[in-house]
This record gives sequence, C-alpha cells and structure tokens, in this order.
Amino acid sequence: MKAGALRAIAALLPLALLFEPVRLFFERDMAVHMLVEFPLLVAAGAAASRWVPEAPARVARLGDWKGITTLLAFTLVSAFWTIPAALDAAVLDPRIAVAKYASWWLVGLALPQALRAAPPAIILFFAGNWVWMSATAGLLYVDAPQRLCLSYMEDSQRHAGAGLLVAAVAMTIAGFVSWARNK
Amino acid sequence: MPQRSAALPTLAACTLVAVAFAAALASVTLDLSAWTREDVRRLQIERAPIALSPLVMIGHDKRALMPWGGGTAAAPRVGQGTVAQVYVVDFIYTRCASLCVALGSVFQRMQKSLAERGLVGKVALLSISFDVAHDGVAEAATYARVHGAAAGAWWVAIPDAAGLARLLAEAGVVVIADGAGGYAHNGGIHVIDAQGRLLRVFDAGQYEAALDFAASRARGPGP
Repeated sequence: MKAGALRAIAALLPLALLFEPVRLFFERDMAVHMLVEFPLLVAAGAAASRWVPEAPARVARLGDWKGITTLLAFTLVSAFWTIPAALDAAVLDPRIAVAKYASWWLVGLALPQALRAAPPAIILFFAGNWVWMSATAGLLYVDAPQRLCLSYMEDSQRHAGAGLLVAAVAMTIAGFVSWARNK
Repeated sequence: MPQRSAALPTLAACTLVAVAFAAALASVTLDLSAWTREDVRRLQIERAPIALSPLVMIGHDKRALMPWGGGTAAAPRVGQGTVAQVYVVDFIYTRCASLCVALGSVFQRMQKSLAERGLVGKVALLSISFDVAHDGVAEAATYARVHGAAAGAWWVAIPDAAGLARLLAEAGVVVIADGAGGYAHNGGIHVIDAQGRLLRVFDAGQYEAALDFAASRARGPGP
C-alpha cells in the first residue's frame, strides 16, 4: 500500500512541474535540469506504466517489436533535449515545456515493457548510441567558449556537460556489467 | 505471432517516431539553420522583423523619450517623441563591468562615425538599461558622461518596469542573474526603426555593419 502510494506520487511528478517554484527548482541550473529532471520524468513515466490497461498496452506492444520503437524514441528524445535551442525553448516557452515533460514521461511509460522485450544485443546497440551521443554533447557543453543557452551561465553549462560525460561513462560500465552477468 | 507480422507495425511506429523527431527538430532549429536560441532569434528577426510596442522612457537628459511607435491616436507622441528614423540599440545596466563597458566603447566609435557620415538626426544611438531597480536618471547620466554620449546623438534611457518587461519579451532578450550580483543577457546591437520594427541584430564586433545597415534604412532629411 505504501509502495503503491509512493509509485502514484512518482507517476504524477510532471504535474508538480506545472507549479512555478517546483519548475524553477529543477530548471534554474542546467545540470539539475538535464541530469535530475529528465531522469525523474522517465522514472515518473515508468512508475505509471503499471496502471496502463491491458488493451492499449497490447496495441502498443504490437508496434514495439523487441522494444525497438521505445528504444528509438528514447534515443531521439535524449538527442532532441540536448540541443541548446530546444533546451532554452523549454525554459522560456511553456508550450515547449509541456512537450518536454510529455515526451520524457511517455518514453518512461513505455520503457519497462521495452526493456523486458528487448534482447541484450538490441539494448546494447541503443545504449551504445546513447553513450556516444551523450558524451559528444557533454564534450561540446564543456568546451563551448560561450553560453549556448540564454537561460544558463557558463558554469552551469560546463557542469551539465561534465554530468553528461559521467552519465555516458556510467551507462558504459552498466552495459559491461549487464553483459558479463548474462554471459 | 509470426516475426514478419510483428515487425511491420514496428517499422510503421518507428517511422512515425522518426518523422515526429524530424518535424520537431526542423521547427526548433529553423530547418537546421540555427542550434542556439540566440541564433534562432536573429534569424527569425532577419526573415520577419518583430513589431515592438510603443515605449516611453526617461532619458539621461531627464526628458521623456518615445523613440518608436508614437504619434498615432492609439499611442500619442510623448516628450521628445521620435528623435531619429532608425535606432541602434543596446541593452545595458550601469553597474556592469564587462560586456556593457565593451558595448559603451563600441557605441563611442559609432557615435564618432555617425557624426563623420552626417547621420546624426537620422540614426540615433540608444542604450536601454534593464536594471530598473537600480538605474535611474542619475546613473544613466553618469553612464552617458563616462562614455561621452553627445546630446542629440546618443541617449541612455530607463523604461518603467512594465514597459521593460514587454520590450524584453517582444525582442526575445533574456536577462538572468550571473550569481555575482550582476546580470548576463543576450546582448548585441539591435537596429530598430521609428515604426518600432526590430529589423536586425548584430554582434558587438559587427558595429560597422550595424551602422551601415542602419544608415541604409535611414532615408530623407530627418525623423
């Protein structure tokens, strides 16, 4: 019961972001925005996945053979929100912000089922793509000689870049550990 | 379920996801032309000038200034009214010790060039403070004196808070706290005509191009 309540609260996290103080807490700093808010939105979607009725879940599974569609969506959503113009737009334009919350949450909603359905080779393929993509974006943010986002200072940008690099390394290690266990 | 019949809906779904991504990407980067919000803003302005609302400010000379959009029934002329055909505008705050100082030097050079080219009265320089909580007429006058702003050529002006918020929102200028008691903002040199159309934004280093562009837009004997 307690776990269920926590899961319900987690699933509804994006609604809290509609309140300005909560939004500012998560989006005032670029590193927190990218490295805390994004994963939390995915986790919120994943928490909600348990309550998806069987009928629509079955239809969704039809278009998500071996989890490929969801993993592709996860890759593209990740790529999109690392573009400075998109990240800035999400801070400055409420409509884009809602699109951002929805895209991450929906990816999170589909992710648990996709990870169960996907064989290790497919997961490794998408994880590998995500790693180099995030590492590249991280390096660009760390090395950029000027502010890339109007909403963030250079320090915040460098921290976000370093965080993306750490996330890429962590994903690589997790991939190797998972591969070794399944070997 | 046979593998082929499962793969086809997935292929269709993946295509949909990819198309949605491509559409969103094209929209946010103006067809892959700009990757930062500032570049997007400048490109949008270049393609279609932004109409700014009439704005009343107090100049460093203590006189009201309504540089653009005035003289109509809806927005009657205020104070000195329109003082030029085209304005070369920067956004500053007088406590700033970095970018605004550099822009001040750039404006000094532009002021000299305006006089040499006989453009005073047609093209005016306008430094607008966005730090309205701190900057008043006295601070604006000090900034004007320190940077050598000449009467009739360069105004340092303070809008009211509501007018400033509207101007920044319309022009797409974002001001954030820099964590050291100051501000960071997307600066640059803005060229605005007397009708209130934001025509172009240039980097501070492109001030000669900004002046040429402003001169090309200033036609006739005066405002």
